[in-house]
Amino acid sequence: MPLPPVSPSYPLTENPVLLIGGGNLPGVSAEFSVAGFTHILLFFRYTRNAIGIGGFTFIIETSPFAIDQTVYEDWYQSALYEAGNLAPGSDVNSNIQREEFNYSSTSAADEGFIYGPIAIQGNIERMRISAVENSGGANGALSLVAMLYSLG
Amino acid sequence: MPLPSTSPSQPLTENPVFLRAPAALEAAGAYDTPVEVSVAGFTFITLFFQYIQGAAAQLPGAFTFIIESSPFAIDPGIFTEWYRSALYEGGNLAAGVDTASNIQREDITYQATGAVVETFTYGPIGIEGNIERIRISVCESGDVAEPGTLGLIATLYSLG
Repeated sequence: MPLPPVSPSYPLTENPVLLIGGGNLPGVSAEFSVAGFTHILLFFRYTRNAIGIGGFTFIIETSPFAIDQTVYEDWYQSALYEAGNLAPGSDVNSNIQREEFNYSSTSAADEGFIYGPIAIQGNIERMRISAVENSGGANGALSLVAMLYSLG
Repeated sequence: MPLPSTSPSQPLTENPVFLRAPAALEAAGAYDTPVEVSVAGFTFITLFFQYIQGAAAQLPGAFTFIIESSPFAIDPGIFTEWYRSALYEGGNLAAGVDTASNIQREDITYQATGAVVETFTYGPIGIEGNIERIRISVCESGDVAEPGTLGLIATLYSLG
């Protein structure tokens, strides 16, 4: 049986959360507990090593379980929803597909940017974030830090 | 008479909610019989889908789901019990003319990208503590002759 979520009373993870340490890609963050938190903000810093434009791709995965399961999958990728074309008199078919995010460098210097805040509304247990170089050239260096907080 | 709402003080459902154990979808693209879950007192729900297309699928596997909610804790008798989520689109606004916007019931489709298990989340969906029950129906909508296998979990949370 899965453990009950520890949310909402006891968010346990301390800020900032150091997810990827700044080495060359690929990088997979350690999984971390987000139970009880309502929002997460990601801070990326990327330095390309490729000649020309370097870049990376990341995916965000969440788990509704505090510990790994056997029957159900443990990790679920974030997805993008697109509303269908609405016409009077017909039900609408919308689409959803898993999503990944690309960032391309604009210079050879360190480049930092934020993504989020992502609303997680206290109802997931764990997160992890994976990143790979997507330029086809030499792997760049990436660090990733997260900040968690609760509203409401 | 419906029972009074238990919201907001006593959300009773425990996380995670196992809405559908991983199993083959119905034949011929039929919707399954969904499990209903009490969401009284909760403000958000997030859905966790896992899907793998049929092993003998000749077409890309896909599934479609619909979300229904009920303002009643039990069957009200006279009123309809379940209400589907709907998509709203604002009409074109012009000064001096009333605007006609549209709303229609919505279903949502996910199509497989491979032949392995694929997992994704949908939501959080704001339910704002003002509905009693939710149920989610799913059907194979890709290769309906070779239904895929689908599992569904939800988590609930209250804010405010």
